[in-house]
Amino acid sequence: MTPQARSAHRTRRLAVAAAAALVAGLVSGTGSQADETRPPVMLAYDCVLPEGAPSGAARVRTEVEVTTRAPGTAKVGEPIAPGPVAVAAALPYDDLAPALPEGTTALASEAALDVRVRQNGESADTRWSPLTAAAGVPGDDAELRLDHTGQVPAVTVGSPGRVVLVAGELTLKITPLTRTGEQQKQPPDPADPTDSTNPTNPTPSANPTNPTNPTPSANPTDPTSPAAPVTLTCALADGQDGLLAEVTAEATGGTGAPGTDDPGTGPAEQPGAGIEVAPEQGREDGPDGCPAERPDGEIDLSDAPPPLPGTVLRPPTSVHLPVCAYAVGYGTVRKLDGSMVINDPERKPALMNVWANKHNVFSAIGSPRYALIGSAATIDLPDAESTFLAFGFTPVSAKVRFETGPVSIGTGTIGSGQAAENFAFASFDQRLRIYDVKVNGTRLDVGPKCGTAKPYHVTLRGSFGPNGTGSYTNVLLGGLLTAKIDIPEFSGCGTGGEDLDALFTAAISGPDNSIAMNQATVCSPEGNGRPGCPAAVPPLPSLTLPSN
Amino acid sequence: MRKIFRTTAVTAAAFAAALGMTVSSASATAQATYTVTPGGAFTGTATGPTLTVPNAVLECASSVASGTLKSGSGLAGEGIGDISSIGFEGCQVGGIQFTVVPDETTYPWKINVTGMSSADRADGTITGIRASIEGFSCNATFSGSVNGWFENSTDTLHVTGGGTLAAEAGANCLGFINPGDHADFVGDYVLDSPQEITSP
Repeated sequence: MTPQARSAHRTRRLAVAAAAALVAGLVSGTGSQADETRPPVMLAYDCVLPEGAPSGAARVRTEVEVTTRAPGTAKVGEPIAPGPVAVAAALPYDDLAPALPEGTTALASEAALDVRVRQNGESADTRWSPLTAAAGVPGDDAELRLDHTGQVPAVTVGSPGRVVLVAGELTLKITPLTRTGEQQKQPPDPADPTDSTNPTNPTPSANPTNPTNPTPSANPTDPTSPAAPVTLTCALADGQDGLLAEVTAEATGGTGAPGTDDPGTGPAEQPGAGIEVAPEQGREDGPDGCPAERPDGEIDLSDAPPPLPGTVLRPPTSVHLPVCAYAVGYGTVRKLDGSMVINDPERKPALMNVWANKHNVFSAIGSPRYALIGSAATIDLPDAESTFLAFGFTPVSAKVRFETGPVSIGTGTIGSGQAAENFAFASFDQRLRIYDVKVNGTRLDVGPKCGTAKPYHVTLRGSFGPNGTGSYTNVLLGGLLTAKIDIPEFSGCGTGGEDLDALFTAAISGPDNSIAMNQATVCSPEGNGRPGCPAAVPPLPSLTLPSN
Repeated sequence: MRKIFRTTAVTAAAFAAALGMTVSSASATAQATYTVTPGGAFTGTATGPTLTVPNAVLECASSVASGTLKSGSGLAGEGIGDISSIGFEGCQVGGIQFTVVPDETTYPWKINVTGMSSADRADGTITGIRASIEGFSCNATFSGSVNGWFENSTDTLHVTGGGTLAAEAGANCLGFINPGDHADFVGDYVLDSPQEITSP
């Protein structure tokens, strides 16, 4: 057997092994993120107290414990995900208490940590924010501990070498919570650019037409109300180097990452020189985490159920309500009887940006009732990484890229009274690409354009159930959305004259595949009190889906 | 004040006479009296009341209003009855739930009769309304009046919208409701006991 023949033979064996693996089963992978949490790093900060602090204590020493999940090693050109991170800040409560209103019963805190990434003489700055915490009021002479957690931007480097992450300034925005009815008025915090009570702040007021109206609690059932926040600006204490993590970036071969030659797809992963920090989600674009960019694609409401016969509709209306939300879940391939994580909450999940209530249709008075509220959205899902188990023990890994088109969201009601039926859906066209296929650690080159030959249509629907007992609450509060999809045949798979399309088509393509996404409560930055903000990442849905 | 009224009335009568009209509806309406039989406490239930603003239609599964109607004859139309409590259930806009919270400090809301379109129909208004709707990203307070009519044959108070009901400053509800938005409140409240409003 010639070397070429042996090579071809080996490729075929790998291809068969991959196909067998696909058929054998699929389990969710952990991605490129570190599997283990690093030991915490202890840092000392000096925080400037706001006015109202006792004289002689304008600065307070704050012990900060930072825990990351940065990996020890990473590949050049691939994102290094240091999060989710934990930033615990401990300071004497007695020093802070004079700046808080009477009746404070609890504290909500939002931390922002500046981080510098250095490698080979280059550097890039990022900010870990928002990191959120909540705490009760400690007793006299006790320490206040604020355990912040949150997702942070990934870092990608373009060359091998040691990468270090170094902490910089820390900002703590502490919001006192008082018993309803005991809320204390405080002047705006001029030092805080995010303070909506600051009259010089362009951030929209919670209630711009009624500045005397106190900001209500985000939770209408919460017996406490937020008062004006207190902002502490903290600098590293003398002698602190701020080192958070070291990562060794190693050179790698081509990943075979697919190109993105279709509209509405994410950017290709092309390693380049320098340090690239993923955009901080939303914070730099709009208030409380929603991107400022307005999705302006057309809405396809053809998946909405029709009105009852005889319904007379009013002319459509359109308003602009920016909201955003996370949705995470599973895609289950019927032929594989296995699932992979979509928008993995343990990694850097993508935020869905929504222009809510863009196209609304209501019935006229006296007509059978009908309401349809249509919203436009965009989401750039991160690639999923999954591990296929061949015969239960041979690992086959693959990365999956989702090329997702504009998302149309509809919610509404048909009929009235006891016969009224609610509906909710999110629909889009999507295409799958597969790359970085490895069998037992050996790369199977499927080429850069291995994926579904055409997009498939996804219509996720929420189940309301009788009297609100379903798994979906509404489009604002979220819940479980499910869909059945028909995966088209594959094309473009294989290199060097070898056609792997049939293998992937046989192993994956077909009907009755499912998607289950758990949608979190939306962040509504323009609503009174900015309810739901910043957007929270929901847990993955159960693999055992409810029947309703 | 009394002199001004008399002067205005005389001028209006002279003006109408000059046009060949008879002095009728305006002054007659102002002086009309009504008879309510039997009057007293009532509870009305509406199915599917709606609140229509320029950008959306909000609706509730049901609403229950309680109040009293004066009893007897020779009654003035203004304040012929009142609403001392009202509640709403199952309220939503396109599947998005909200609650309606009446401002109890504004109770009672007045029921006023302004005229009889027919023996079966007493036209009027409800004034002094103030209520808020509350939900996720939704806080809006409405105040003002609505029009309506009472149907003797069905013991139904038809609330037909119109009037001055509008969103107050600070209204902010999903982009659907904005300050100053006029709101048409519509619902048919069927009373739990027979009532009749007539005018001699």
